[in-house]
Order: sequence, then structure tokens, then C-alpha cells
Amino acid sequence: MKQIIILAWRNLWRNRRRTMITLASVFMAVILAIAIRSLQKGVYASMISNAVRFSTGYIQVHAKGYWDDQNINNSFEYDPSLSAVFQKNKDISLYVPRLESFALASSGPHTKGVAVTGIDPEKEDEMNGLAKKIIEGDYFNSQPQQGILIGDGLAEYLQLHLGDTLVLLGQGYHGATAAGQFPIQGIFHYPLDQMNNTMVFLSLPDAQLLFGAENSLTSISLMLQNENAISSAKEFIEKHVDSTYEVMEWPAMNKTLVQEIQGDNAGGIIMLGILYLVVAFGVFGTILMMTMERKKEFAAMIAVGMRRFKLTFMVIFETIFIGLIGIVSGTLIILPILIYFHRHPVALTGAAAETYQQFGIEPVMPASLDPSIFLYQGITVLCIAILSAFYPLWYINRIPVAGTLKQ
Amino acid sequence: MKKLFFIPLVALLFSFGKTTQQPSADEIVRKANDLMMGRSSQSIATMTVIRPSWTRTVSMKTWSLGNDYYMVQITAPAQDKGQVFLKRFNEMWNWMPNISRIIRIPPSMMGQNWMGSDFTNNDLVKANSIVNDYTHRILGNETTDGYDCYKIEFSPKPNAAVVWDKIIAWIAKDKYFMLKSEFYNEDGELVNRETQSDIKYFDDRDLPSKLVMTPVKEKGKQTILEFQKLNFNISLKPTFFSQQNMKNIH
Amino acid sequence: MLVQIAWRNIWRNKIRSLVIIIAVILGLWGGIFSDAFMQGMAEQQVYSSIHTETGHLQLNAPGFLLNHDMQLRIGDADSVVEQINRLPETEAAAATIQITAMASTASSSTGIIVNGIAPDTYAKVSDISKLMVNGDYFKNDRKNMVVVGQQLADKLRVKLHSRIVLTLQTVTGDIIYGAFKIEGIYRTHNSEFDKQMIYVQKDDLQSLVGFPSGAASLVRVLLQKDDDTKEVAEKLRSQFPAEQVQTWIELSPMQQVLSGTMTQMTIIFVGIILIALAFGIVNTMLMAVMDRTREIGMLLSIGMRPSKVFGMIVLETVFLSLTGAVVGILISIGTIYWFGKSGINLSMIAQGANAMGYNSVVYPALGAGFYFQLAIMVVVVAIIAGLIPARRAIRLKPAEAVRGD
Repeated sequence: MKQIIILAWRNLWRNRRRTMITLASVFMAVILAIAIRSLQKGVYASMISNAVRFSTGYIQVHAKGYWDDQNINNSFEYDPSLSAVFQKNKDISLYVPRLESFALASSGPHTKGVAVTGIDPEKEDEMNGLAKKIIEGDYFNSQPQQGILIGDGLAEYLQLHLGDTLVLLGQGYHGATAAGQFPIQGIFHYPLDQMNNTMVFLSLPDAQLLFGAENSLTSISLMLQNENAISSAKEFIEKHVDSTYEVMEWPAMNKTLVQEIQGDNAGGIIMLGILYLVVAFGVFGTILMMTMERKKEFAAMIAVGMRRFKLTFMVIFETIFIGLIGIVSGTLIILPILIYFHRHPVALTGAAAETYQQFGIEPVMPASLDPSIFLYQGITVLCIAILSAFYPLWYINRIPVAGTLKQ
Repeated sequence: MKKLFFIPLVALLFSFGKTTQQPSADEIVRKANDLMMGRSSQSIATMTVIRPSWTRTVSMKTWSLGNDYYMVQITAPAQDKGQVFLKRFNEMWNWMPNISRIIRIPPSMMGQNWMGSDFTNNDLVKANSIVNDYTHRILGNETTDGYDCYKIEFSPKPNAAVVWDKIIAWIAKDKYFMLKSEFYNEDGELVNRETQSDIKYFDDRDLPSKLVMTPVKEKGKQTILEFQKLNFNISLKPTFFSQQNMKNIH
Repeated sequence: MLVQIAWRNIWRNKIRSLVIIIAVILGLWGGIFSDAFMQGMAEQQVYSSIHTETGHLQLNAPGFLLNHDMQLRIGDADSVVEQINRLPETEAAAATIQITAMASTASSSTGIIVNGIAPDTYAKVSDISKLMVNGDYFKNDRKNMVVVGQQLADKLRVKLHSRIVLTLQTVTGDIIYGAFKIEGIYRTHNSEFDKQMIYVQKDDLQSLVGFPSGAASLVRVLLQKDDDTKEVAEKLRSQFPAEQVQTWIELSPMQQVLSGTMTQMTIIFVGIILIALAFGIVNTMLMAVMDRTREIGMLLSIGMRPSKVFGMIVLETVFLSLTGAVVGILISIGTIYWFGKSGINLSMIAQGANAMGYNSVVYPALGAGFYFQLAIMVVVVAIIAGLIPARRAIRLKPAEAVRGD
């Protein structure tokens, strides 16, 4: 067997041209497959990142049972040891505390139900750029007395301007009535109507006072450096906090987004399948032609006494070598290119880009460097190469030696 | 001869009719409701909200006129003191002294719990619906709490805007206390149970002084309403029940 | 002469020719089908948005959509509808009352939007009547029936024939309650839509809240062609200056974002597939040339001029790619037609994507123009790809070539 392997290897280099051509087909297959998959995954990762930035973050920590029954009574008291836990994990880049509840906003004859969020101004802005959405007035600053931030849709409906007073009325902690008056400090605008018409922001201390929930939070949202580390980050947190908390990943909190991505992903897989058909045939065609070209060579070897099955193995090894070399070299070449497009992504243009920008999202299509891409595509291409080798194998076993030699 | 026989027979039948004549289901429910409401009423009461991890007690004064006007003023605890709730027909307002505003409760809040209890704003506003929105049927007799009761089934009328698919109530015969009510949803599941107990003599009638509402499927939750004082048929006019007056009553 | 030789050469080595033809077919089909597929996905979303959610155009009183304020309405909606129906581009128009309300059951309540519709007319501007998964869409004229989304039914834990209580405001600001029975349940691709939108008979809603008859909250318009949207929007703006007129693009900004991204990705993908194709052909041809070294050497040594050998190989490539292109186009047309009718069910590929129906079935579609564009691109690529090995071939030294390897 060892002899055959050596023979296979030598064969490759005996006819450089032929080997290079075959190698090239594998090489291209790997590069293209990895490129497409990387782009697809990059776009999904960016979709997810944007969606979670404007809502729950990648992971959220609440008091146990809060997600199924979201009310102020299921808040938890903030414990500084939690921050210590978050800081210990390198994948967690930001933790954003919030106190969220529901209240009636009232001004004159108009009343409207609104979602009230008590925020840490700096952290919230770092997560989703709220400060940049302010179109009139100011964002929260470090002064002790703060007002309220409302959307322009709500301001219009309630006929309020900067400096006017907004009354909030609702149910506080343990059923106590929550009532407060706040001057309008800033008016913001989001491209989504829902946010403009129904969201108001208070500083965290103001919200806690309003709802009678001292030092309490309803959630802490976590953003990650590396979106592939969600599960490990979640496990890490669960290990370090007691069972009075629940730790949830974004798919559990945003089923619609999950469905959208799965839908797109299915489409992406079909595209990938089509690509594979094309490249697989490229590899196969090359190997087919190569086999035909080596008719005489094979016939000669059998004629001088090599057993057909040994010849078969030799060809298999040749194919494996070519496959591996092609895959490795292809991966090595495409990797730096993808790294470049990961850091400097392809830009989106047109109306889509504009809307993205209104949200404060970069309109780009980044490439993904998820290692699984390289692994899966590599393995698939290797399989294609080996399957293609079946033709020469079949051929070898049927070749009429004498006839071929005579040609 | 025949005529002579006839008259006593008819008289006998009449008397039989009278003694075996029991009130109709509708009458029973109406009487039970009138007992609790009177033409008008005034009360001092406390409400205790019990939850698995906390308990809260609120004290209040209430005024009512018929089924259409109702006012509640909170007297304790300190953070809620001075709040007033006003109901006129289907509308509800809330006076908040600490922000000096009267807020009208919009449709979106009607399903919310009142003061954190197991009663909704809806419940406060549609107090008379048990009479008008349901048809009533006597199921039989049962003894509850030592009282012999009519067991009455309430079924919603075709276009009635009520969430219960069925209510079963135990109303004491003669006394017309609504000792127990069970509220069922469309799947036939028991959702709420209300019991009334601790009969006392208030003003001119006997009435249960304690009302307990229990959401059956949720452990550890209950709301208890206890009346310390109840007066009936006092002179109250509709003008008493005004937004202006919300700020002035003591 | 050369042409004849080239032609005969092709038939002499059937396998080799077949390989090249198949490579071209696959490449062409790959490019066309993926383009069609992505177009199908994009069209699906646009179609959904227009036919289920917004119609092509909507008219309403200015500011109405901010908070569904009942006081902001189109007073003479019926006449507006009539006038719109007279426009040649219109397919249908329907006046709808839209009010925010609370829906309650014994155990839960949630905010929703009630649409008071005239069922038959509305069915012409919206396909909600075709998206029923349970029960009926206003089969007869029973009063106080309601059609809700599956998501809402799940949230309120109700089913067919359940009763829900709506808490609404009348036009004079009083609070009123209405009991409705669920006649049917629908499901769309948009679960947020399903959670919010419920439908009742216009008359029922009118009598409940005292909405003036002849008036409406909005008028929804369906056109015969998507492309007429902007034009008709302008017409309507000048015809009804007092109202706000919005196109489906303005009503669903997210649509734009999604289609824009889709288009760019399509371009990149098709580009990659063409690269794969070109490469496959170059490679196969190179290998083929190597296979024919002896033959080519023979031709050169009997005196055929290298330029003629070059020409011969190029011609062969041309014939093969054209054949491949024609067959490729036919196969593409066939598969797109077939899948276009039956649809590709994505939920079989990505598990869970899904019962809720976000684009779970895609109908590939492609305009005729695209076919030709792609075919021409592929043939050009194939021919250029064939040039490289052709140049190699003529560089062969005849003696070496004849000797074989």
C-alpha cells in the first residue's frame, strides 16, 4: 500500500500541467463556495446584530418568570455583583440595564398608553444610538434632575412641545399607583412609527421612583463582541448567577426574526446548492477529461502487471491528494480576502441604504469568518472530488488493455 | 251543587299556588343586586390584596347612586391617599392629587387591575351587568355556609359584551345574600370564585361584610374587601358624582 | 471548410463534447435559476405587502395613521371610492373604518386594530379572504362576527366560535363594549399583522361607535399593475388634495430595505456562478486540449497553419457553447415554469422555516429579457474561456505533440 501512495504522489508531479488543471478546478470550487457562504452568513449576522441592537440585545437577564409575565412586580433589585460577572467574560462587550413598564401619558384631553423605559443614558446610547435620534432638545445628561424623552409622533398627538409637562399614570410596584409629571427634555425620531408613537424614556432613577421600584430593573441586555459566542456566554452567566434569574438568548425573545432568517437561510442553501452543481460538474468534467487523457498510461500499467484494483487505489489517492491540496490552498487564498471584506464590507446602495442609515445602521454586506464555513465547504468539496473519482475507477475496471494500447 | 264545590276548589288551588310559588330566577338575582346596592349607598371599607410575595391594604370611602354612579376615595395608605375614582355610566375618571390631574380611563385601561387587586376597572364600572346582561335559570337548591340557597346559572344574552361564558351563584333564600359566585370561561374552566361572608347588620339590613375574590388557577392570590360601615338610601344626587366634586369631597 | 472540420471534430469525441455542453448548460441554468429564485423571493414579499397588508395605495385624512384618531376621517368616502373606481388603472377600491380597541376574554386582553369592512368589496382589494385557515370569511350576514389572525387567537387563547369582548370609544368619546363571535381565523406571512388586525362588518362597527355613514377612516386601492403606482398616486393627490395619499412603498419602509439588499446579493451570486462557469469551461477545455495533443500535433505537422488550428478550436467552442446555451435556456424555461407553478417549499429545507409561513413557498420568476441577457453573457464567457486553451494548443511544437505526452 505504501508503494501505491508514493506512486500516486509521484504521478501528480510527473505531469504538472495535468495536475495543476485538476487542482485548479478544486481550488476554484472551494474558493467560490466559501465566498458565497461567507457573504450569506455575514449578511445574516449583520441582520441579527441590527435587530438585537434595537431591541433585546443578544442575551437578556431578568428575574425568573419575567419574560412570560412582563410586569413591574417581576423586577429584580440590582446587585453590583452582576456587573462583575459580566465584566469577567471577554465576549460580553456591553451590558445595558433597563426598567420597563406601561403607563398612560396624558396631556389635556388626550390620553395614550405608552411604553416607559428607564435607561442608563450612556449605555443605552452605546447600544442603539438613541442620542443621535434626538431631533429637538437634548438627550439625558449627568444633571440630577432629568425630564422625559418622547417620540415626535407622540408629541404631535398630545400637542406637546419642548418644556411642556407630560403626566404619566400607571400601576407601580406591588399595586401602588404610579403618577408623575415630567418636563419634555428631548424629542426623538425613529424610522419606525411604532417607536415614535408609543415609546418614552426616563432616566433610570426617575423611572424607579415613578413606579416605586427602588434600585430595581426589569432587564439587563447584553451585547457581544463575537456573535458566535452566544451559547458560551449564556452558560457562563448561568453558572455565576443564582436561580432567581433567567438568562435568555435572542431567538427565544424574537421569534419573528428567527423565522425571517430561517426563511432567508433556506433560500441561501438553495443558492449554494446551485453553485455546487456548477462547480461539481467543473471538477467532474476535469477529472473525466483527465481520465481519458491517461487511457494509454493506465492500459500500459495494467499490461506490465499492475493489478487493476491497485491502480484503482492509486487513482483514489491521487484524487485525495489533489483534493486536499486544492482545499488547503483555496482556503489559504480566500481567507485574507474574506478578512479584508470583513473589515471593509461591500456597501449597499440605493433606497435600502438610506433607510438603514436613518436607523443608524451601516448599510453594508459584511463577510463572515465563522470557522464552520471553511470546515463544511472544505469537506463538501473533498466529497465532490472523491465522488468524481468514481469515473476513473469505473473506467479502469473496464478498460480493454490491448485495444487501448494499440490506438 | 257544582258551583258550590267549584269555588272552594279554586280557592284551595289559589292558596296552594301562593305557598308553592317561588320567585323566578330573574327576581332572585334582581333582589340580590338591590340588596347590595340599594337606591343609593355610602360606605367605609378596606381592601386587602394578597400575593405570594406581598400584601397590601387600601382603605376607602365609597358612594353609589343606582347602578350608574359610583365614587371611591382612597383614605390610606399615605402614597395613595386622596385619590378619587369616579364612575358615570360606562365612563371612569381618576383624580390624582399629587399631580393635580383628573385622568379619564381609556378603553385600553379598562381591563387593567384596579389598584393592583383582582378586580378590573371593568368590574367596577359594569356592576349591574349580572342583572341585565345574563339570562338566569334556577338549577336547584343547595346549602352553603349554613344557609339554604338557590343555585342559579347565569348565561350571557346573545349580544352581551361580557367575558364570562357562565356564572353559577348561590343566593340565600329569604335573605338574598350572594354567598358564592363562580365565574367560568368559554372552555368551561373555573376562573374566579367570589365568596361573601361575615353577615352583619348595616343600617337597615343584613349583609355580608366580607367579600373575597380568588383567581382559582393562580396560587396565593386573593383580594379581600371588608365593609366597616354601610348606609343605604341616603340623599345623593347625580350632581354629586361630578369631576368637580372629585377634588372636593372629604 | 474549417467549419466542417470543427463540426466533425465535435462529433468525433462525443464524451468530450458532451462534458463541455453540460458544463455550459449547468452554468447557464445555475445563473438563470438562481436569479429567478431570488426574484421569486423578492416578488413574494412585495406581493404579500401589497395584496395582504396595504394595497397599492391608501388614502386617509392627514395625520390619521399617527394614532388612529377617530375624529380624522374621510367624510365622503363613498364618493371617493366611486371616483377612484372610474380611473382606468384601478382594479378596485374599498372604504374601511379603522379603530384601535382592546380585545378581552376571561383571562387576557390585548390592544388591537378593528377594521370595519364591506366583506365583498374588501375581498377585491385584499386577499385576506383567501388566507383563512379555519372557519369562514363572513359567509352570511350574521351580526357581530369577527375574523381574527391566528397569532391573536393563540394569544387570547380562543378558537372558532369563541366570544371576545371589544372595548372601544364612540365618536363622542364614550366607552362602549361589543361582544363578537369568531367566525374565521386567518394567517399571513407577517405575525405582527396577525396579532393586530381583526375584521368586522362595517355596519356592526358603525352602529357600535356611531361612525357617520358614508364616511371612512381610509380608502384602500388595488391597481391592475404595480408599475402604475407612482402615477396614480400623483393623480389622486391632485384629485383629493385634502387627503393624504401614500403608496405601498411609503407605507412599508422595511420592504425597501429588504428588496434592496436582495437585489445586490443576487448580482453578487450570479456573478460568482458565472465565474464558476467560466472556470469550469476553461479547465475542461484545457484538459481537452491536452487530450488532443497528438491530434493537434498531427494537424500542425501536416501543414495546417496554427491560426487555422486556433480558428478550428474556437469554432468548436462556439458550437458547443451555443448548443449548451440553447439546451440550457430550454431547461431553464422548463424548470422555472414548473417550479413557478408548484412553488419551492422552503420549509422542507430549513427546518421550522416554517409553519408560520414567512415566504415558505417561493415561486421563481424571471422576465424574458433576463434569459437573453444571461444566455449572451454565458456564451461570451464560454467563448472567451475557450480562447485560452486554443492559444495553448497552437503553441505546441508539432514533433512533441505527435509523440504524445
